Amino acid sequence: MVLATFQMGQYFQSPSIAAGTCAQLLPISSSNSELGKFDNKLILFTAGVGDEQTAYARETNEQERTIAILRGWKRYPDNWDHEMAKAPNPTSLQSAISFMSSLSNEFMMPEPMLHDSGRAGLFWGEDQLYADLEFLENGSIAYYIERGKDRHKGVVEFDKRNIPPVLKPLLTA
Amino acid sequence: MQSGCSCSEINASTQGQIDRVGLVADAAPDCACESHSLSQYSPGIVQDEETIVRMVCVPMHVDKKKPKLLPNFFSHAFSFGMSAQRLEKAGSTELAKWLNNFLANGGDRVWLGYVQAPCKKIRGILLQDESSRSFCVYDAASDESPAHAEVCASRRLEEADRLEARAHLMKAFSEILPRTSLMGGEVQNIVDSKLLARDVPSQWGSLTSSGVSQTF
Repeated sequence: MVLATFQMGQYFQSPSIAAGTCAQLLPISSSNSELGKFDNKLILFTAGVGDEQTAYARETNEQERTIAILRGWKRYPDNWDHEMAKAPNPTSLQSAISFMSSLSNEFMMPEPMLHDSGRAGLFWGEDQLYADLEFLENGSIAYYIERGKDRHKGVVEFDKRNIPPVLKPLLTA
Repeated sequence: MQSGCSCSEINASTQGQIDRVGLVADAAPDCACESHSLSQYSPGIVQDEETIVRMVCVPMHVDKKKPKLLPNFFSHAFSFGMSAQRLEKAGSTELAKWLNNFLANGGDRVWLGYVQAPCKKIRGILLQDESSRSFCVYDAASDESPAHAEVCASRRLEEADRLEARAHLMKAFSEILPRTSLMGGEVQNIVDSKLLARDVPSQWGSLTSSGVSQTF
């Protein structure tokens, strides 16, 4: 759906969107891809002719929803579970967000988890796949994966950009 | 007992500590405190033949799309100690009272159901290529909950081993059962109706009406 046409550096001023609505749409980067989020829809700004840009909206996908959940946990305090859990560890949470952001279409999408230790985790629980990843405070990832009859476990470094090669074939669809 | 303390002293001195499980394992290795009651309110040590029940009440512990447990449901087994109830020792009144307290302590909590496993199965969990047990099941009675038990890792585990042990624990408690089936519905009938009426997210609705199987 085309939301509006606008000039770079301007917020929406289109008859199709009320002025008050436009004011809530804030750019979050200057690239010509993802720029804003509103009403649970991701707003995409595509390159237009000259300085003119066109904004499109689509439903937030599963990957984006999971990232949003993980980001939301940053605000959790100590004892968020009313059972003395530690506040989320920022390094762990950011690693989980980076990992999620690195998942391309070939990967199955996991469920996010927060542990009482404050560590973030991701979980895949399908018929032939059990994969439990926990993001450690030093930036590495502990994993235990059962895929079919195979079992894999260990701790692997994560550079915040690329899915560790050891995990790639285990988590792809 | 390496520390020279009694099990009840170890229990009392480690309450509320996030490293309680490790401290207990250090002080009483090899599940030594399984053969001792940890408090004066105990109905006796936990026998292999007993059924261990754990309530599912925290949305963070359940898959957001389908009524399946997530591994963080078992996190406490490696930190504070994982609270559970001894089915054959607890009456419906005690379980309802425990649920009332637990639910009232968090506005987002909903009684979604429960899981259960034979104590023997939990005590029988071994890591791959290892012969020593992964979990202890302690009698951890309190004055308000004499049938309270705790499932705790038997030792300090390496990170990946801890995740493997968690997977085995998840399989032992293999199925989320509907709250209507706990003690034939007796418990549900006496839990505070206001707490019971808390909205259950639609994706978990089946948990409050009929049984749900989960793969892991």
